[in-house]
Amino acid sequence: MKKNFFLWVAIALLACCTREEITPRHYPRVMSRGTYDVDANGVLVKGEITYTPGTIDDHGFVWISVGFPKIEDCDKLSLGPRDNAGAFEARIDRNLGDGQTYSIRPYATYGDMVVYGETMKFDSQGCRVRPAITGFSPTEGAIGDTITVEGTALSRSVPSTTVMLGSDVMQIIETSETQIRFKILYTQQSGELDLTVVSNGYSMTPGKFTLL
Amino acid sequence: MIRFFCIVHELRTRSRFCIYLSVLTCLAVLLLPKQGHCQIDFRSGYVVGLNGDTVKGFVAYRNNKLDSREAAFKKDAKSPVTRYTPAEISGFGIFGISTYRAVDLPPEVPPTGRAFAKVLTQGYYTLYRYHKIYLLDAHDSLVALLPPKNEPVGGPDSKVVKRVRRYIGVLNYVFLDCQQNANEAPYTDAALTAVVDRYNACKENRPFIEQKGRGLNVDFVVFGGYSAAKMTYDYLRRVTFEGNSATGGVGIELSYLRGFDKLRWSVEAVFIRKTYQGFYDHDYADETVRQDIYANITSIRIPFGLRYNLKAPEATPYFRGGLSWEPRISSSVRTVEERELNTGEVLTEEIEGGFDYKNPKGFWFAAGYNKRVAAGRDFFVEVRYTMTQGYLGSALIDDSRNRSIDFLVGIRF
Repeated sequence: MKKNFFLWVAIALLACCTREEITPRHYPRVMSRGTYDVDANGVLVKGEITYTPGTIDDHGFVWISVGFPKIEDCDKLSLGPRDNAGAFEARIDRNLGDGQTYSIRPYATYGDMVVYGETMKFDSQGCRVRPAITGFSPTEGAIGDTITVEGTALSRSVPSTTVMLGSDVMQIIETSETQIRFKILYTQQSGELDLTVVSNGYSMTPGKFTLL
Repeated sequence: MIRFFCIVHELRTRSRFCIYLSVLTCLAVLLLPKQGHCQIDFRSGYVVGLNGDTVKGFVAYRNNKLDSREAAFKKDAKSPVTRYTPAEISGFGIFGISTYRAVDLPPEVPPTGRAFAKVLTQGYYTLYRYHKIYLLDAHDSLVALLPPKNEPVGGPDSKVVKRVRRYIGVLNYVFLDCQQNANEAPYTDAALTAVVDRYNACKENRPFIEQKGRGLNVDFVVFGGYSAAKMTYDYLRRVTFEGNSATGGVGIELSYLRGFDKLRWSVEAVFIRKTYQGFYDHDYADETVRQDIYANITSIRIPFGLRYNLKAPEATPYFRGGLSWEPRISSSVRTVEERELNTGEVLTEEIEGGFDYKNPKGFWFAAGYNKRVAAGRDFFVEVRYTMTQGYLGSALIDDSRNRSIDFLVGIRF
């Protein structure tokens, strides 16, 4: 009996674990769980929703190389809605430049609230899906005109995107994964100029633009 | 009973005085008198009749203050109590604890007559104690070894006193044939028993083996259970933490069976590993800050103090109490902070550390029930309440307090 008693006491002590509980609140709790397997194809990112008061509208990861990542204007990987707490992860294989340091964090949207996990940083080695330009229009224009560039895997982040005509940088109005709209600023150049787009450090020259 | 505890549990969840309620409930359950129990503490023992016949049964446990002219006896637990005078029996005893013999008190020990005296040692000579006076049975007479006293020296107005220890002179005279003396023997059970033992060994031609700590009993204790704790810490404002976990430990208990065996001294080591969880929130101008604070503490609590048995150790309720010291083995605090901005965004941040720690000191008391399940093996249940400093904050400031209630089961062996 004595042996059994010692055994049960030992088991109870070793098995005892006090689980962290979360004080209920009106929004989900999102925790960052680290970045893993950084290579030339991308990065594996992990997060966890440890509490939710209801169905989450969307969750995923946002990242940027300059400043704090937010869902409005940064590169984002959406994993969609979910109705329970739990861990999640994703392999990000686009919108990552080689040799750049990124800030990344998980997010969850719940009603009109956006909850971000803690910001994590990692040094990117590039990504598998590189950005590409499929075309732009119009192909000629004057100062003040707005030009639209079409492509794939483009950055949603304005600070991560640069558009140049010849040697002058143009003003970006908005960007998305498939489109960049920019405005031609004053320049002393004219005639046929190289249009250069830099997205997340990847430089592309889709063609010539005629500045009238 | 289950229904009763369900009600208590329900009350606990609703009442802010849940800990006090639990303690009171358990005390009531433990101490409610059972039917048929009387107030006398009967122990397994025997009486010896005048004809030398021994009758086994239960004898009232006694201490020095009890009447030495009477012995209460029951043949079994449900028998009526029989009260014997020293004239009716030649003695009685409690197994493993003490033996009493009926003796004719010498004239120096008032009130004279026949009384029960406790046998301290027996052999060629037998040493008794009657209340606070020792008696030596020297075959043909019972000699009173009177206690030392101060006697004035140099006339009635003198303030000079002399310590007179006549019992040493008596013993030295008795021990002459063995060339022994009792010059260094203080007037105590242990010392006088030792000198008489030595003399008996001489007379019986056997080697004398000094028995140190005779009557001292050491019990080992192993226990486990559940511990519910509440800690407060005066952070930016007072934050309350809760931490519940399994717990367990080991200990030793010391008692002097030949003296007063209801009182025991104990020291234990209790392993505690808890996550204390607290919540802090505050509204600022353009944001609300909420913090879940998780304090992970591993420590060894060392409660030491006394235990008092209400009845015989075979089956008795008991109380315990004393001081507690709790050195930490490891401690860390992790804070998950959320800042809810007025834009609808919530920014989460994990913060490690940022707190000072201390090794709590405090008090504890307990109530329990001990039941002998086999020879030298007891089972017990116990409710223990501990009040100490908290683990967080400065050791110099009373800014943190910890209260825990432990429900324990264990064995003594």
